[in-house]
Amino acid sequence: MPSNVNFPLAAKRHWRDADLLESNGRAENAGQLYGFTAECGVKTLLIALGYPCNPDGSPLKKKELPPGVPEIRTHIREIVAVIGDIQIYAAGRNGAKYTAMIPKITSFSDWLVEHRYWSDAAIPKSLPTWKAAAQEVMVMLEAASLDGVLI
Amino acid sequence: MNNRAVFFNEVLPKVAKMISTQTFPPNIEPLVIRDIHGRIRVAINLDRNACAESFASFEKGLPGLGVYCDTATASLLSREDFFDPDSIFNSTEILRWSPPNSDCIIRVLDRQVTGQDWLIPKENSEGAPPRLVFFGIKGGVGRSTALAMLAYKLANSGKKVLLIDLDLESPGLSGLLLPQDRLADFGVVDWLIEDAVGQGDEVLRRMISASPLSLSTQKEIRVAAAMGQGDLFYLDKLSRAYADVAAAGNHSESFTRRIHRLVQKLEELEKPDVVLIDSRAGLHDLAAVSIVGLASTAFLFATDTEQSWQGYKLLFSHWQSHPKIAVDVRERLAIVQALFPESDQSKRARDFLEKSYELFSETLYEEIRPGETGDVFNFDLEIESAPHYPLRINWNNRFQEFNPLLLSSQGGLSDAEIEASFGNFFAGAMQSLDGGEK
Repeated sequence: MPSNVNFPLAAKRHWRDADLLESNGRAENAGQLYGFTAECGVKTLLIALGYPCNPDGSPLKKKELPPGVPEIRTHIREIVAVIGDIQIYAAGRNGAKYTAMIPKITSFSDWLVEHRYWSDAAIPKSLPTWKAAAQEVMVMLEAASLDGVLI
Repeated sequence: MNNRAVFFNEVLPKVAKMISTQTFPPNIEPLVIRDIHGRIRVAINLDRNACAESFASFEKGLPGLGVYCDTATASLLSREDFFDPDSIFNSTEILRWSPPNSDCIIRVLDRQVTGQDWLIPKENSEGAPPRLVFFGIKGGVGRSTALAMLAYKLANSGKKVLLIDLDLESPGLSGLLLPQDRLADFGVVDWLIEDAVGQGDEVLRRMISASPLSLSTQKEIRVAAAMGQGDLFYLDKLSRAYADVAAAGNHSESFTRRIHRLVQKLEELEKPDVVLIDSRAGLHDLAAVSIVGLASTAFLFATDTEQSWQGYKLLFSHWQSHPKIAVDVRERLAIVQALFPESDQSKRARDFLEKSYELFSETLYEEIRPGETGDVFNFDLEIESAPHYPLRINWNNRFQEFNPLLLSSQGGLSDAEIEASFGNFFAGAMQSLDGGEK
């Protein structure tokens, strides 16, 4: 059965749409999509490096994971919070290279998926840093793809 | 159906052939991307529509690449397939590659796990002191001893010398030059680890000590050893040392770049007249950084054995396939005939010279075509200033279990004995410092 989940393609789509929104003055939702871009991108990398998955390509749920492995069925801010623990998957020559390429990922510490319910005024004015971090993720994905790590 | 397996060796030559027999839109050179497993993709710096024709005919050749072209994924890429096409098509990592015995040259973006450093040209080192690199395909040819002796000679002749031990997998240089209790608190490995978490500068000043060998010399010999004193965690650190590290800006900093930065920082701190670098033996990344990236002159230690020549042939052929690098590196090489035996010297010298000449002629020397004039990188067998013409270090069994810290007054070697073994090598090294090729 073909899988619906495709993190690398989803990352590209969110990036493109975020960019469209931003260039049309829609900063608030653009920021939301940059967060999804990073989430999908980081998941792509972790899965390529061996994070446990279902056959459809989605990461395992908490109760299915081996003890001590943090869950990543969540959003970018929460993934960044456990990225130190996740980096165990990024050991070895490959992993360290890619995680080293995304130092700005911590910029999502003020990003929330709940921003979609918030008023414009309440959403942090962090678009430039979120965008820069998401861009870094996209560049990292491209490198991993050229390396043949994502095939 | 293609029944015969296609192996790694055949793939790039086949791709080169496919490219050379195909027409592309004007001024468009395809880019071959080879991934870390050796699989090939071909990219054209145009929109998909503009590539359609080229791709259609190219596609027919792809099955001929066997498992090295995964036809299930997109193997022919146009601009739309990239997130940042300009950074790919204009990448400084793109190399020009030509198959053996062929004039055809293709552009390759070679994604490797290790070893890229053999093909990264030397950085601008303006203002840096001369850096002499000591390399051997195999260990045990007296490389570190020669380095210690040259350090002594240079310090004696009024030059401040900085030694850097980059032979991290077999850290022995400091043992020759520093008694255990004179080792600094930290070593090169510590800097690599501490720098990765932002405190490289904290250890920088505490990773250098003066060798007692320079007590009697005019200037000091300063040593940045691989390890610090009483290190209990060397392997824990070594296993992390080669990591790329997140850096400010958009890019991570590669291990190579970090080694460059370390060497520059040590040079700024110590202001030596000469830097001597002990490179790791064998075809390892650290040797690559040292020879290709850092060296003003790289001494390539060899004995007249098949192992030596085969190893150097592999390395030189690799450079030969990448003409730009070959040009960058070839003028900085100097072969050293190590452990030159005491008996039958003229025949052995001749044999070595001929094999060294053959090695260079087949790989790094340019062909002189009939009627061609101008600058051709080629030398006759007997030209002593040529890179193939060996510097010689005479075998002396007293160097076998040699402790350079014991000077003649303590029963060690006299200056005359040192000169007898190393004189020819010293002369060549001095010449390279004076700006000569060797």
